Amino acid sequence: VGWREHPLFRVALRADGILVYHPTPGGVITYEVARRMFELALEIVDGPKPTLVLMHDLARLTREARAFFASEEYTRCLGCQTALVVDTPVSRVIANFFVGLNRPRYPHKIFDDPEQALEWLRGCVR
Amino acid sequence: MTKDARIDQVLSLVLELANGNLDARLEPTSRSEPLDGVIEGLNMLAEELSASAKALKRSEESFRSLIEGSPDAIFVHRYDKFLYANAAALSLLGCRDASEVVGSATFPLLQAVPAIEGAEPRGLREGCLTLGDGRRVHVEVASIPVNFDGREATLSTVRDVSARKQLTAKMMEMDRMIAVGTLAAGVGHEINNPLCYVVGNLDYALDVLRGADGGVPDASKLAAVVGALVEAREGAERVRRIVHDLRSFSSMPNETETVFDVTPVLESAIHMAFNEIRHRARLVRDYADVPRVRGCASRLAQVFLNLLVNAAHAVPVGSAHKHRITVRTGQVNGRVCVEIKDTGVGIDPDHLRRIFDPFFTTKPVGQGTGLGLFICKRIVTEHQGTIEVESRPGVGSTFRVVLASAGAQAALPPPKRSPSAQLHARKRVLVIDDEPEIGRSLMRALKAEHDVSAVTCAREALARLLTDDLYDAVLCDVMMPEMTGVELYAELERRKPELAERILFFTGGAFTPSTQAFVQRMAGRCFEKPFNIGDVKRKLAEVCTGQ
Repeated sequence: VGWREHPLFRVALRADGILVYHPTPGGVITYEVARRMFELALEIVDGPKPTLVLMHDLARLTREARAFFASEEYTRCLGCQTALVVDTPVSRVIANFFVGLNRPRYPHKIFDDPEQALEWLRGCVR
Repeated sequence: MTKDARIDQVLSLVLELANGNLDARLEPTSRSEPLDGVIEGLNMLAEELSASAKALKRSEESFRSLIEGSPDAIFVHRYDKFLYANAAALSLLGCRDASEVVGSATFPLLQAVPAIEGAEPRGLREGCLTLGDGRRVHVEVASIPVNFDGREATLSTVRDVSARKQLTAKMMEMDRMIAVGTLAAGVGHEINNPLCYVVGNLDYALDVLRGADGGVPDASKLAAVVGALVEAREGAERVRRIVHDLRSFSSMPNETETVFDVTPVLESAIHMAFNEIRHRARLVRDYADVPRVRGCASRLAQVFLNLLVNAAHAVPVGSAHKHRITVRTGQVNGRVCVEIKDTGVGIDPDHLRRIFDPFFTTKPVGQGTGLGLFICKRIVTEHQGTIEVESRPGVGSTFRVVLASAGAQAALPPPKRSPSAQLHARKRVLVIDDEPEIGRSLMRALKAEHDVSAVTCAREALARLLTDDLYDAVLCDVMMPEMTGVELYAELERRKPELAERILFFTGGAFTPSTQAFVQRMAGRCFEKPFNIGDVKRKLAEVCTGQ
């Protein structure tokens, strides 16, 4: 339905109403990048949407970026059921740190399989 | 790089982190190996620890700057040793460096301030502290238990309240002046009434005795003169009582504590406030026998005056027959209770909890400072007493002051039996007063029983007393120009001590601390002007017979 490109990520709204964050392979997401990701997402959605985060190629998510994705500001504008898809040891560690330390207040789950993640999110859309 | 070499790198990273190098990191070579996950996990853990350590350091620095920058002196101490002192504490103690205080087991502060002696955590206390330069300052000390270096300790905040004490003293003085000033018109009225008939009756007596209406006064006229003089005497006595009551409110700054009966103090306050009361309410006295209390009578008089004036002002003018102000004394658990109750407008419940706050007043602007009840509470608290209020709007208010009794030592001394003046032979008495009328008055009053001479200069009197042994007793004014009664006494005490023991003093008021101390020292040998001549005669008899 709509998307935005950035050198370090791509953000898109699928036809089924699911918002997708896809960092570029080997990307490092800092606070500034996270904030830009948020701003571009707001350009294509009119409120919180179920969110799919494709973390498999992510190299690093900094402490400040993690804090932002769990912040009150992010939660208020875009906080919705979120599936974190991992398939490398590094992305798994990053996702678990985010969930275990930052404790986002919106529903979230870690998946190895993107299809299962989408299935879980579609349940939310329905 | 081999897998073993990579594992060695991971172990090195772990050791670096364990040694406190929280900036150590290791780059994952890929994202697919389990070891890379471990490395990224360690990196993220290090980042978290580093951030926590920095936050802790910032927090410590913030607290340290708060404590260090505090204008109050802050000490941490355990038993008799100081563990920490902030900059204000060092400044207060006149020290340059914390090392002069910290670890010191016998630092003078512990001896100088009983308030912080020991490490008992206690609430707010006051004490006196002698500084390094010898200055004594009033301090307020608050202590709380803290954990310092992993062990229990006490944190004490010491605040120099000398300036506040002085300000409070000035505020109290100001309030007293305002109270007395407010009542001055009423007091003037109370004095002018008796003065009016004193002067009138004396004029009448003079006219009759001078034969102004012609002829020698007959017995009936003389009887009328006697009647006029008796009334004049009674009027003068009323004036004397009013001046005495006024004096109750003029305490000196260094007035010492005494043991006294609250009833006369209450009476003085009533006399002062009576002009405010009588147009508004009937005054009801309900006094019980109560123990004496210890403290400063003039300051408690200020409290009672304030409460009485407030009670009067709570009642509208013009319906005195409908309202009552009741002054009651009694005992509560061995303590002395003074109750002042009015049937006035009462106090709004919203105001009730604030009425003892400074500058709180419900009176119109310009009619109340808002300090009266605040100062009352302070004075009562300083007397180890309590003050409380009950009030219902439209019904009235009751203020209750409860004071500690002075205890067994304060029992009233048994009254001395004064020897009758008539039992003694004539004595030679010298009167010294710079007011010649007083000398002449005493000569007239005493000449039937004694041989009396009078001088107006203490120096002349001293010369007479030192050069001959004509006098059995001396009546001497305290405050005189050129040479005071105090100085005369000092000379006689040095050069003729046996005669110094036979001097009686009278005073119209001691205006300086030294004179006041002298009057206190001479208690029992000193009369207040205007004095009762019968009392003077009895005391003269005692002195002359060596009792």
